[in-house]
Amino acid sequence: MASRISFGQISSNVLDRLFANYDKMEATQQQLATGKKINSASDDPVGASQSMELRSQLDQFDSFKRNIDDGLGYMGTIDSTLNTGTNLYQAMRERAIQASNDSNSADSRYYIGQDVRGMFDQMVALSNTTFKGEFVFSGTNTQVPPYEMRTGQSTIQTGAPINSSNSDYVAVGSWIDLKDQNVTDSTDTPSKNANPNLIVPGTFAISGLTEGTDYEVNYHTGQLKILSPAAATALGSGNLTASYSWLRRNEKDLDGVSNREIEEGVTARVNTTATDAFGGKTGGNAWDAMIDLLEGTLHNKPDKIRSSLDEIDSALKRNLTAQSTNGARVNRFDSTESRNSDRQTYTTQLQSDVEDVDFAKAVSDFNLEQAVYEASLKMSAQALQTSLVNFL
Amino acid sequence: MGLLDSLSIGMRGLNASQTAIDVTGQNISNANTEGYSRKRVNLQSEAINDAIYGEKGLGVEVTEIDRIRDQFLDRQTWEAMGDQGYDTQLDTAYTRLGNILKEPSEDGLASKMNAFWASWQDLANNPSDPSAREAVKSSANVMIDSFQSVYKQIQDYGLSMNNPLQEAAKQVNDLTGQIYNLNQQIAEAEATKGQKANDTRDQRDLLVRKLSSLVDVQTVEDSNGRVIITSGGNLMVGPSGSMQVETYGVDKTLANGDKASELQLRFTDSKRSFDPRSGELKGIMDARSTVLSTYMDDLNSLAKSVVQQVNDQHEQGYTINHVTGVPFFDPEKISAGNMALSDAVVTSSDNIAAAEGGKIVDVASFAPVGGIPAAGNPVLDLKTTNPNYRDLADGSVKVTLSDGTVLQEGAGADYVVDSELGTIKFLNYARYNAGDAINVQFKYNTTGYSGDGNGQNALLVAGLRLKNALVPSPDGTFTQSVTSFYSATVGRLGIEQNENKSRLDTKTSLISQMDTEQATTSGVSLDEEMTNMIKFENSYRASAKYITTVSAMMDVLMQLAT
Repeated sequence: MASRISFGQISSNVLDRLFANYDKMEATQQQLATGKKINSASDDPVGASQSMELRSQLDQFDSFKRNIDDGLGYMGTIDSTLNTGTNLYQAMRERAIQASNDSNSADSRYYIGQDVRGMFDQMVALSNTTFKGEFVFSGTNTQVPPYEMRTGQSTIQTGAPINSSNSDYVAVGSWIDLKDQNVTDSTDTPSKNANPNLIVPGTFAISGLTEGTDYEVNYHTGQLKILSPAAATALGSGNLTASYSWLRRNEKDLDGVSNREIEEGVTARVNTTATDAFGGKTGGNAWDAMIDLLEGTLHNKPDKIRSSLDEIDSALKRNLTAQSTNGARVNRFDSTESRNSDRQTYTTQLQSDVEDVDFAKAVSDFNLEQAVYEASLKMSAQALQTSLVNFL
Repeated sequence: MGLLDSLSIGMRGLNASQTAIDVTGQNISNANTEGYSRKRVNLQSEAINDAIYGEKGLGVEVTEIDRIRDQFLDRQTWEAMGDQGYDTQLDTAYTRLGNILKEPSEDGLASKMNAFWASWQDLANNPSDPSAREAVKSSANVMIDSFQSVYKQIQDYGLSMNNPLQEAAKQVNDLTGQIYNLNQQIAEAEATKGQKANDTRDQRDLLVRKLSSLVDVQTVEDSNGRVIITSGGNLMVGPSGSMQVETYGVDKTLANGDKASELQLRFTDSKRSFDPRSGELKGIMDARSTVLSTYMDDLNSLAKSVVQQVNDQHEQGYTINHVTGVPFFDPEKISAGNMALSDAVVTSSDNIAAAEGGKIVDVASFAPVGGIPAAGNPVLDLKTTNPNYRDLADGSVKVTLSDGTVLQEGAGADYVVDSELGTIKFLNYARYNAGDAINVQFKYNTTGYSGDGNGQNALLVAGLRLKNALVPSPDGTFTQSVTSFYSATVGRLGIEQNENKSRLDTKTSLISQMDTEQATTSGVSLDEEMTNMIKFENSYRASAKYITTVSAMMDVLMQLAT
């Protein structure tokens, strides 16, 4: 015997099936509307957590890209600065060779010296190059310029007798440090930190006295030697005032390393320090070379000019080394950038695979589900209409 | 035997057909009535013993009207209903949780955290740029808002479950009361009067079914036809009454410190707590106490890890004002619901420590030789004892007198600290004397300030996103980073929801199958009823015809008499 089919049973079955078909259609519809396969974690838990990881990775790649771009900008600035530096050194070298020629008169050397002085100022400007408001050669103390031209005055107590053994007074014939002599500085008031060294030749003057006969200056160390007591006493007892321009290397640590994270856990250096580009605090740095050349040309000292040639060569070499080191860093960033962008593309695609709807498939699924739903609606309507009642 | 007997055979036939037609009518009318079981007329032929012919028919008799229903199936359905009710509530909670977390998307917590870490990378590129500092601060605020909003929504959702719980408890009382009343009616009809209480039983089964989706039900029918119901081992409907349940509030402290009341269930009379084994009531309580709290705990672990890790790293670095030991987040607030930026960072983004420091070393107890310096030269220089005692962590200096008095730091108070130089200047000699022994507690940074352009510490903070600091494995190492922990949490939510959903679907289709099976037995088939109607109409017509015939025969007899 066939089983009994009751009215309520038919209607509830019809309803169940209609709901089921509608649910399926609705799910596909939502996918199409949002363009995402995963609209909540339960749609695909593994996919959802994968997609979140991928998103986080993509965000990181974005960060790396910004870091790399920023670093490349930073190093680009350094490269063009060092490149200008190379040209300057070469020009300086030419001037030095020209000036070392014995046929030069003191005057013609002096004119060459004027030219070199311009180059010196240009080099100071180069050392103060900034990128986004940060001094690139200042290590991590990027808010201070590495080198500054200052004008200063030292008040030297002479007094009578000038060669007194009293330590408050300056002794004739021995080197004294200008920094110990009551320095007034153009910027620092009171000038507690002023430590004049690297004095620019041609700017040093003691009124009434003549360099070479009355006094001698060590431009590198900022030292003065009064040569004759007569020179000092001629001015009477009292104070001598020496005025000068000097190049101040910032007292702060300029050797800090600035890094960018360019890949997961990989940081790479971007900065070139003042020491790398111009040499250390003391002894044989680029400024010493220029000071020798300036002194030689402005004060007509051929031996200084000749010795400056070697110094300029080593400054040029240092500059080129810094430039090639910087270039190697740029290369590293470039290659990492292309790898980073590859991974970015690849990960974006992976994320899209996990997260995004395959539209062709979803549309065809939707059409199929719609057809099934409509068919089930039609058939249900007919099935529900018929019973024996219709035929009595 | 006379013609009058024949007439009564016809009468009985008419009666039986009419009753059958009535039952058919009742069936047709109730084809769509919830819980209705079809009825069937039981007919039996009647006979007397005739002296000559033996047993002789006396027509038909309606013995009883049967209710056709599979009781065993009902019981199974009720059990499945409890599970279904339970899983439905959990499913609602999981769905709601998924909507609150809203992952994966651009708006979820994960993307806010990603933006937070990325802002540290940008700060590392431009550590002296005030706008990069502000960006870190604002992305941190957005992340905190997201944490708090997610947490609060879950918390509010948990509290909003008080209403359905109260509603469900009221329904349980309503249903058990009604079932008890129907029990009385059935017992009255069946045990006392010997009648069948078919429709009352239908009503009662329906009520039990409704009750079974709220709480688990175990039923036993006693000899009087009363159904005894227990739930979670507790008697709900007994022979002499139904047990009422009520809700009562349990105080709970929320993340923001407010108090809220969370409802629980107990019996009104005994005040014993009521813990059903399944059903919607249990579902609501479990969704609240197990599901929601698990995810709230996870959010808290995540928030705590972010706060502590970032603070640990941040305190090692230097702010733009050369201060070290500054926390980034408020170290006291380590839950997802109350996390906040530290006061220092709220005050100014200058207090974000982007520059590299060394390690913060805690000097728990240091007794300077000579104690408090003399008033004329009131400066205690920690560096003279140890050249490393400089770059003191912000606010870490605590000076205690030998009698236990803690001195107050501040320009108008007892002493001021120059953190960078590691000096303490004593100001208030009214409170102590020069030479008093003191104990100084402080923290110092092993590395000095390295310049505004140093972004190394920001880089280290940014790197924390991938540092494994959550979910310790048995050997004590951690296995998950904040990023992977959260995506794993979301993944787990999806998996749990799907598991629950598939259980729910199984139960739903099981119930639907059993309902279909029950409908096969007890449902009204219109075709069948129509057929019966024709059948009984015909037999009614035939019985009437028979009576006419007997009546004609009587007429013949009467004419004979006249």
